[in-house]
Amino acid sequence: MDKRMSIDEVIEQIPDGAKVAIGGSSISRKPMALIRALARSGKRDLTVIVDVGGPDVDLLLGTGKVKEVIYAFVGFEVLGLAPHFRRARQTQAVKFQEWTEYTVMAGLDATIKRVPFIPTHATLGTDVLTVNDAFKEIRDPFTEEPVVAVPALRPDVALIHVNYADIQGNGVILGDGHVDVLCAKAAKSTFMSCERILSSEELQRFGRDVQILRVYSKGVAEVPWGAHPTGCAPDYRTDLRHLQDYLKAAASPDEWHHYEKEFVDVTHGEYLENHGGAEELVSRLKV
Amino acid sequence: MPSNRDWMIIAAARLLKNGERVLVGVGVPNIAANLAKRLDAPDLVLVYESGVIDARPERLPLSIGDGTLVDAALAVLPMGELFSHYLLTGWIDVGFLGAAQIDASGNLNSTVIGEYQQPKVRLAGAGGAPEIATSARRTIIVMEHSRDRFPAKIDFITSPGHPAGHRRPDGRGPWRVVSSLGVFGFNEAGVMGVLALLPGHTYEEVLDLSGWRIPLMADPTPYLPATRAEEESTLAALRATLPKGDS
Repeated sequence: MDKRMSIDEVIEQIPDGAKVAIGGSSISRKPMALIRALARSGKRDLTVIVDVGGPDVDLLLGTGKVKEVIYAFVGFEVLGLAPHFRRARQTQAVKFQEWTEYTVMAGLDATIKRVPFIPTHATLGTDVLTVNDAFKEIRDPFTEEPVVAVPALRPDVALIHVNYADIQGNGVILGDGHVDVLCAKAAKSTFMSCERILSSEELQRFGRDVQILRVYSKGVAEVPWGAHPTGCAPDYRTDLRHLQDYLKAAASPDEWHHYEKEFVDVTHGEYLENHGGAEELVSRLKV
Repeated sequence: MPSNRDWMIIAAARLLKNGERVLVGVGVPNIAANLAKRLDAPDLVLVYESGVIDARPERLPLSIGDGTLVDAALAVLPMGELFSHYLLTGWIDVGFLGAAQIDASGNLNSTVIGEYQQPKVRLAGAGGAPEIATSARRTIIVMEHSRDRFPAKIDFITSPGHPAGHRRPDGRGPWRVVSSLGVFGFNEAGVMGVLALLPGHTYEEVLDLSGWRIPLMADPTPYLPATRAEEESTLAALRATLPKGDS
């Protein structure tokens, strides 16, 4: 089955109000071309589920697509805090649910395992447990000790970016996998972008690095530089210069408007041209 | 004399023992663990929460998902497996944590400054800190020293420290705090005290820049031994591997 789709065809599959899980981690292997397309679409009231977020969550917040964020961390790592995330939280325009890295993974895992919740000791003794209404402190039925019930997280859609895929929707991840496999397995529909589409014979050569099996993917879009400005190991590293420009732009409405015009409200081809083209990116960011 | 930040890195690196498994985060902990591995702890096992086990990065990674960590690592596990089967089972010896605020028991805040419902500053969030704080055999907390960061009461408990009146019964929890003024430990009551000062700083400064009276753990309080030439030169060489415009 040929699952190839364009970026826009992927976005059409996402209904308003959908729960969207995003793979990658902070400034690494985020499906940014798909995120930008979502950001310039008319979609709204999304719930974003993310373990470690970065420019993905920040851009969707900055373009007003988000109703709620379920997250463990959102930041730009060495570059600092995420500007729209911070602002949205301080102005209370959007709902935020405090989770932790393990509990987000446990919530996705519960859905995969078809169980309603997973018990854990994580977050006992913290205010995370106090402010997150989704968690319940319960008694271990065998020992009576307190444990936390982490409810199943059921994304409608997962968006991920991988190094290679075939047209059947098998995906190769060469760097660390982050939570992509959990997102892909837990979501009702998973769409992935990839740096390159390979023939299924070629893909077989990557053996153990085929992390996304076709049973879990609904669509695949070939999008070279599809993770930019985040990094996609081992093909290219994080574009710190772009991210610094992003942070600067996010500080003023005028500059942000300009940033959106140049880097969000454009096709992926135009996006690359506005960086001086793929060759310029290769010379700067190829590992 | 090294800057405060360099002193913090060197002081943190000295706390790591050869052969230990250390879960490394970004920032100072990352540089400290890489420094220790190049000096006194060559067999230190660097573990990154994205699932990388026994990383041998050639340059300093920019994030936990940096490709340089995967090259030449012993294994790259699914992140869920690293958490469920390694971290939460107690396999990690040392967990490194940073935070915006810390209190006398080592409770940490990395969620909000101010009231939770109407925060003054929204921080990046818990990440994996709550799991690291309670699962690593011991934790080292690294943070700048100021009255805002060492208040009498922190605004939000993201990661739990020692319970009131005693240390964690399982022997885990906060072990050392490395601040820009000194290195701190925790007494039998689970309460923070000064172990040693960074050269050039005084106990009076600690009192001035803390929201509660942090006691001394030894009398007189020692100073950390001066830096060795190779500590400074190796640190400078590590720094040189970062892209320009980054510290």
